[in-house]
Amino acid sequence: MHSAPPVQKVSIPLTRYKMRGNREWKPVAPMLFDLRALASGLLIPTAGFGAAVEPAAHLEKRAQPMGIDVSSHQGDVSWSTVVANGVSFAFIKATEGTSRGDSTLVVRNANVSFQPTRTLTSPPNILEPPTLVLFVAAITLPFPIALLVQLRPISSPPTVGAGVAMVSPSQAPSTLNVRITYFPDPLDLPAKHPPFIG
Amino acid sequence: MVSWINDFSNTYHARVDRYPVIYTTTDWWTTCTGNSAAFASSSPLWIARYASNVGTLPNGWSYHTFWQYADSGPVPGDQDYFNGDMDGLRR
Repeated sequence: MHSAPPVQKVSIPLTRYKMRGNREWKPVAPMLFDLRALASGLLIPTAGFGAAVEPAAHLEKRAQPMGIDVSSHQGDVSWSTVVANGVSFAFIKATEGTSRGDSTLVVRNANVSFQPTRTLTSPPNILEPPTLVLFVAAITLPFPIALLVQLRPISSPPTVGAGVAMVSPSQAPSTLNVRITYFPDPLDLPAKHPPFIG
Repeated sequence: MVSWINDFSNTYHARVDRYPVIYTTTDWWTTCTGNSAAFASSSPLWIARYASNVGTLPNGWSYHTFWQYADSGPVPGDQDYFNGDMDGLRR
């Protein structure tokens, strides 16, 4: 197992920053800042930093944004805590194999509604996976659609699942509008099923 | 397995105009698909490897898009990196 990388610290010209909530907008003494403090919105750049800079944008444009993927194993997620720790995106598992247990996780965490589900035929596989239930999800603005086929390691049941992905979990759950529908049998499309409505 | 993934990917693409991300390990992909390179040009790769680097990728992918680098950490759930910047992630 690989532990998380160490917290990055940089020296920031603090005359260009103010503390959120400080109406005086006084410069504060130079010091080292945890970059995650910027991600959490505790520090925001003032106008002197650059006209085009949005709060935390300077940080978010660094390489390798960090994310998490969660399932029912994690239960309810405190997104405010997650964001405060520098997480920029998240996957939420919607299904796995025949289980719809994770569907409720998505509902709780991303304010989604579900359409009726349907059982699919399992893919041909040397390890005889169980029958599948697949969902697809579409995340409406301001988030792009990002879907996944999850193929598990051979040491685990080789099920195929589907999940939803979102950018900026800081906006979950109140402003996320996610609609999930089931993924019809690929061989049946499109005549027998209603169009994708995400 | 390859034909099933191909069906899923093509059908999905036809519906939403985007290919699905494929999450896998190099070991699983090699064993179950014969290390197929058929999806590298369309599906982004989400590689799982709990190590200090992503290691050898499945056939055809020259880079990963997501990397699940740990199954626990300071925040809940599995830990991932996006191989790019925020603008790229939003695309």
